[in-house]
Amino acid sequence: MYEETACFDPNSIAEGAVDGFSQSLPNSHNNNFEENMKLSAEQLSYHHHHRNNQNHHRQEDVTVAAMELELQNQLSFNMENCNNSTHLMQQVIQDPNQVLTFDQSNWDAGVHETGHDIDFSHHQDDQQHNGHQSININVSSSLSQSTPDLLNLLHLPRCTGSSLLPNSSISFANPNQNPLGFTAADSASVSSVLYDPLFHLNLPPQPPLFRDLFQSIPHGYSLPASGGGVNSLFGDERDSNGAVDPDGDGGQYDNRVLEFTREIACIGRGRGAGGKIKKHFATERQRREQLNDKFKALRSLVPNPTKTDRASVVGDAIEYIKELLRTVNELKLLVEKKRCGRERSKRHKTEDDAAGDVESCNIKPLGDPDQSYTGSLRSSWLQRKSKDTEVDVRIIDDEVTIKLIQRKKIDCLLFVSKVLDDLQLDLHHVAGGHIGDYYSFLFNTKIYEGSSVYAGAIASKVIEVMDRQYAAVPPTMKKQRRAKSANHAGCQKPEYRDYEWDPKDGNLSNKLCAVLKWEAEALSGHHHHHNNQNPHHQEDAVVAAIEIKFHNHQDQLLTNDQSNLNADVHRTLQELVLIPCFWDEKDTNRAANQDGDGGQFDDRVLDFTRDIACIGTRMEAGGKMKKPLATERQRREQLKDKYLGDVESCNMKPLGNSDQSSIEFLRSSCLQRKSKDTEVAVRIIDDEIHEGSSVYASSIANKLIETVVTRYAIAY
Amino acid sequence: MEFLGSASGASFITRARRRPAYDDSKEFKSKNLNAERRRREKLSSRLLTLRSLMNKATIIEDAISYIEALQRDVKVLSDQLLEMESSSEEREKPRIDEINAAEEMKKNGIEEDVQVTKIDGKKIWMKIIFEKKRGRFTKLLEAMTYLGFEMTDTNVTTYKGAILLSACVERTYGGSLEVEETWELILQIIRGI
Repeated sequence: MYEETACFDPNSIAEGAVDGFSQSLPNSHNNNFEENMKLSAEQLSYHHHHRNNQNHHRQEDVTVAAMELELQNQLSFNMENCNNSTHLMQQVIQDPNQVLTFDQSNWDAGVHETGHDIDFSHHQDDQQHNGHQSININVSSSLSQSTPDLLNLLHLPRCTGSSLLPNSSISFANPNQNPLGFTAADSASVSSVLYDPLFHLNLPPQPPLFRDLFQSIPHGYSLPASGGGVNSLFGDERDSNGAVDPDGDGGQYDNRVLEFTREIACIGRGRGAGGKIKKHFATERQRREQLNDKFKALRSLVPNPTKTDRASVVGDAIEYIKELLRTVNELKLLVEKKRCGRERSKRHKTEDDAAGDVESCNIKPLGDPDQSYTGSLRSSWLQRKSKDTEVDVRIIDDEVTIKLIQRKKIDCLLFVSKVLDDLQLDLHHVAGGHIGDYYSFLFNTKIYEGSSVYAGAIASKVIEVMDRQYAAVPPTMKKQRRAKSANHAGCQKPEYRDYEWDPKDGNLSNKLCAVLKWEAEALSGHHHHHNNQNPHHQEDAVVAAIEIKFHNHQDQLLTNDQSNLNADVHRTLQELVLIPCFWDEKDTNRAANQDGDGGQFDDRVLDFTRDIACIGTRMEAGGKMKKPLATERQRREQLKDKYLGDVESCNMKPLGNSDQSSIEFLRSSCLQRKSKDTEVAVRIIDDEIHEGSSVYASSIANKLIETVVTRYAIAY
Repeated sequence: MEFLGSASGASFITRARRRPAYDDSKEFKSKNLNAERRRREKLSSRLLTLRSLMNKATIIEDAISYIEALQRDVKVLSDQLLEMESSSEEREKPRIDEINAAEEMKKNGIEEDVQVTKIDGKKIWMKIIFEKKRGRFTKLLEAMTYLGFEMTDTNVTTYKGAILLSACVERTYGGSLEVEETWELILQIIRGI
């Protein structure tokens, strides 16, 4: 009797079934289903009431599970009727056997095994409920004599395919209940189909029943009637069901079934905290640890992690992702530009050959991608921090603004200026100085045409330089000159004194002459500094320039020798009251013999040359080949000359209009205004404005001009 | 969202219908637009739901893999850029619209100038105007450092081919400064670089 009547709404089942097994369920059974469904609903409510008394914990789960079971029964019934030979059916058929065996053995083991059968990801923990076991026991005991359908029911709690239902039937808590005399179809597809019917159970014929059922389900576990969390779950199930209709394979269902399981299990767990076993705790701890590890991994990816708490890790990650996206866009833009530029230059060549001057002039305005015809500006913004330095690089179009904050007292202006030269940035404005403990500078630069630097490169180079400076500054000044002759082969330190150039001496102009002369000579390449025997030329003496050559591979750790060398040199120079301001470090691994070719230039673009005030002597470090400083400078001069002098056309770009473009994550806008005697240029990147203020570039510019003009008028 | 879509869609339709002249094409468009809009909104709301369903672990995992992917992209692109830069270097002559800085300066009546004033025993303030040329500023800084000057509170600005530099100058390692001397020195520097 049970078997036949305990069924849910046949219509819905049919629908769901049709979805899931379109082939399998003939329509002729619809009516049957309907009756069965009604009956099963009744059964459910009956059983539910029973359960209410006995196990409050699992009420909601029970109810749901009961419904599911009933549905399953119906379906299995139908399926059997249809002689469906899908794999699901086979599974169903197989499973009872499994169930039987499990039941007869130590059922604890059986439960575990079946639990493991289920192929979940990390949510498996939830399945190992005590209730799981209890269900099995009850079901098995009570159903063992019953028909194979009942055995199918047993199958519910475990099987591989039917992930969800078994789990939900975990909550099927009550051991003492008489098991529903359901036939359990219990295959994944079946179970997933069940959720469809459940929804449809809300149909008019059924509502009262189900409302009762639903209402009896306590707490947030609201079912379709009432809407809510489970609703969505159900909804998802349904949708996914619909989505996977055609293929009817168990795989897809499994996933979604899993989802649902997890949720149910969570709720079940929440309620049945008392019933947890220690094994649970272990897996939970594992999960927590895994989560922590993931947070740590995230933190390690981010460049400047400050705090360790989860919220700030996530916040940093968000910022970093935005920054990466900006950089990617910027780079893409640059690559595009380069490519177009190249093509254009190719075109130029061919055209020139063909047509001569007139043509070349005409080519330019046509396909020039460098001009932002699209009206969107390249914008990019980056921040980098190191131990003592902070760098903020902002790029709008071809103007780069670099803000630099650092702690220690070193002459950053000079070094940054060199970096800018290397990166082909034309310095327009500098402002800054000492404030509190820090030195803060703001550099406004323009990118020379043809260069394709990007924000990341600028920032990292500046930081690198600054850090090197810190490393270079020796902590103390020692009065004695130590000679490490091993390192300073050919150095002849004592000779420094001969060339000592003490700026404290009165004669500044002499010194100046000396310096300039040295420079001149360097440029002209007269310096040959391979003289080990006689490191002190007379010219050198006059110039008083120490040239200290040693090689230091960027990536290598300094060998002891070299680091001592460094320190010694520093100390010596300080003794002589010379300020390190020019220090050339060349990579020994690159053939030091090479002379000013493109390859070296690239390296130098990548390296930064540290500067130390160099006067004079050549030193051999480890007998390696040295490159004359002169040629080094010469080379640099040559390369600079390549750019035909001053690129800068003191221009205020004739923008005139405000180009406001929201580029990805930055508000960026750039604008210039002129009046008769005044010019104003305003650049905005993103957050330089107080929140809540909605000022925009042109308003700023206009206001400024207005103010200045008024002042001007007043003054005269 | 769906409601909005349909509401505006409805209004659109009614609007369209009010003008019989454009009826045909407008109706087609509006129907299509409606359908399109609804479809799009359906998709976006579902994506939102999907995202809301993700649990903490998955979100973090996704974030990690996304960051790594982006980092790889950045690397690839920057390598590409470097390669392009190095390979095309010889070929490409930067087309530069040079404005001869000197001419500009003259045109605007700006002259090279050095002014030095004493602030107190140790500090002087200087103001230099000189013609702008690539790398010149760096050389100036180098020279200053050579000579043991340190610039605190520097300001540099550029206009029409000229650089204006104003700074407070001190001796790097202490000591007094003489105005005349310094002035001449700086003048020489400017001439020399």
